[in-house]
Amino acid sequence: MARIIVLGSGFAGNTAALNLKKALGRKHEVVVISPRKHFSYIPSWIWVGVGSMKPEKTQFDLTPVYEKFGIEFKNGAAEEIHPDSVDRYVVVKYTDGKTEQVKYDYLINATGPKLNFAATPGLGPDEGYSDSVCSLPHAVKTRDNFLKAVEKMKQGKRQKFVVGTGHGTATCQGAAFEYIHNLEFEIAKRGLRNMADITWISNEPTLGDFGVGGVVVRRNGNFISGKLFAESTFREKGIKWVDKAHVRKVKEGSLDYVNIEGKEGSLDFDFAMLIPPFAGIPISYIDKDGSDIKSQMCVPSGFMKVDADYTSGTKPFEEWKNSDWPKKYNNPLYKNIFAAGIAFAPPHPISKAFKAPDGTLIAPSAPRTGMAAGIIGHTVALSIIDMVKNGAEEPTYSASMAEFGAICITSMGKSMTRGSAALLTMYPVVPNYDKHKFGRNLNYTFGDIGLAGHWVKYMLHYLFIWKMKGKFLWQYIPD
Amino acid sequence: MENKNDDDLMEYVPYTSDSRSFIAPTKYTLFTRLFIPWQLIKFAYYNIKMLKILSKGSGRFMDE
Ligand SMILES: Cc1cc2nc3c(=O)[nH]c(=O)nc-3n(C[C@H](O)[C@H](O)[C@H](O)COP(=O)(O)OP(=O)(O)OC[C@H]3O[C@@H](n4cnc5c(N)ncnc54)[C@H](O)[C@@H]3O)c2cc1C
Repeated sequence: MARIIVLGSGFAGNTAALNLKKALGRKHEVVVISPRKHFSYIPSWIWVGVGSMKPEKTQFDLTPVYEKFGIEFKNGAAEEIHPDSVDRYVVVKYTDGKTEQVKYDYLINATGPKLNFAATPGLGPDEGYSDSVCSLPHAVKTRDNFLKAVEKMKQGKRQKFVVGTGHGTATCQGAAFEYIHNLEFEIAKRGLRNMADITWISNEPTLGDFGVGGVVVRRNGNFISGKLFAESTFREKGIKWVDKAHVRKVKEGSLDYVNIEGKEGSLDFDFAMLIPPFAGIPISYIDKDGSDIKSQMCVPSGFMKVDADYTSGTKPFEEWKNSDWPKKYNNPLYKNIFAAGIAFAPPHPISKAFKAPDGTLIAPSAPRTGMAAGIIGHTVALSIIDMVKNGAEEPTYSASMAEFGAICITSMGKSMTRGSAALLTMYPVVPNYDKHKFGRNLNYTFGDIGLAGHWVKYMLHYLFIWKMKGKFLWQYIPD
Repeated sequence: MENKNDDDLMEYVPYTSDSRSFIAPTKYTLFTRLFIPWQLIKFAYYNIKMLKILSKGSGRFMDE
């Protein structure tokens, strides 16, 4: 009997756990360890953050799902991994302070990101002056602050809103882009648009880069860059923007930034929602002698090393190759340890990295979206199933971000009749300029804006919650 | 539609860096983006597009 431990119950972890248990049945054990017993449909937190969706609609309790599937659930946080003792085990810490050693044969690290607010002084809702939509409590606090600003506008007080990324290496520009459009939509809906100054600030080298090197689409007989696409949405809504910017410091009511050219500036705000950079979840890796081997297992930001070419990270953008990207997601030192979703360390960003003249890095990190996390979690599960059932010695399934595509639905307002969203598909996620002139296959790379996009976004919310609950025919819903 | 003319839709100042290259939606485009019969067709089209990209595959068995 094999025991597979999955750390984390997000898109990657839950997809892996359900697929593993379905294929391996009662003969083998699947254990999920996670400090939160809920699955959260994170893409809808941008709606929570403007008050257009109730927080409880974005999450559900996983306990009955795991009971139904026969998956053992441990509601605690992994603190240590001991990968080469005779009994390989994970140390789990529960909320009451008790710890437990849980043995494994295979381990999937799908712990997602640590929100690294500390990277920018004054960033974040807990110890700083900006809001965030990267956790549910943060999104709820953001909603409350947004609604307070709305009340002030109703009383005739003009408000300044700043939305974007809070550090030069932050990712998730797409989520911030959705948030700024929803914020604008909600303000306009209340007839208060003339009372609001709305500004976008981002570390993207150009608007519409989204951390994926931008996207070119074919429309009405023209090739159109993502820059024009994103710009047109801002012009339409009267949103001003600052791009190529690293936020140096957030203070009460203002932020300071520097851009790629070294130009320094500041923005005043009454309300700011800024996405933090991500780091790996702090977990210790201890070898059989009791030594800490984290530096061998993880990159400095704490994400786990997998089968990527990490030497490529020191090379210039022009020398980055598709083969730098991982395919099987197993750790080079331990074949039975995998990392899926945000937890794996990408070899380098997708967008070109820039530096300000003073050396400040302004380089959006590679996004690992929910779809990518699901695909990778599923792929890793298939490899483990093959190893357990058929004795495969190496992982046998592959899914490279340089070979699969992405569907991004960027909400621009939540309403079944007046809302809209930009639907953007790209294939592959990591552009390949040797193969495609614009980096991607334009038959599968597509962009459009409209109400139907909102319907798709809304449909996916319910479809994915259905899938993640493991309900009827869940396995046929794509990752 | 609140705007009388297309050119009410955005601010335009000639010879600024902003005015040198831009695209912005016209009134007609904004209308079609919310015109439900057209959007129903688009909804079906988007679903086909998404299925096409999903059919390009995700996890694959490595047979080398
Ligand atoms: C506001 C917002 C909007 C977004 N919108 C979209 C979108 O529209 N489309 C899209 O594709 N992607 C979107 N994303 C990105 C998407 O949410 C992530 O890519 C996805 O959640 C990553 O999945 P994951 O499983 O890797 O990590 P997560 O979903 O973060 O899951 C991590 C899991 O690990 C658990 N965990 C944490 N620490 C430990 C520990 N020590 N031990 C064990 N478990 C632990 C957590 O509790 C959690 O269950 C958005 C992100 C944000 C923040």
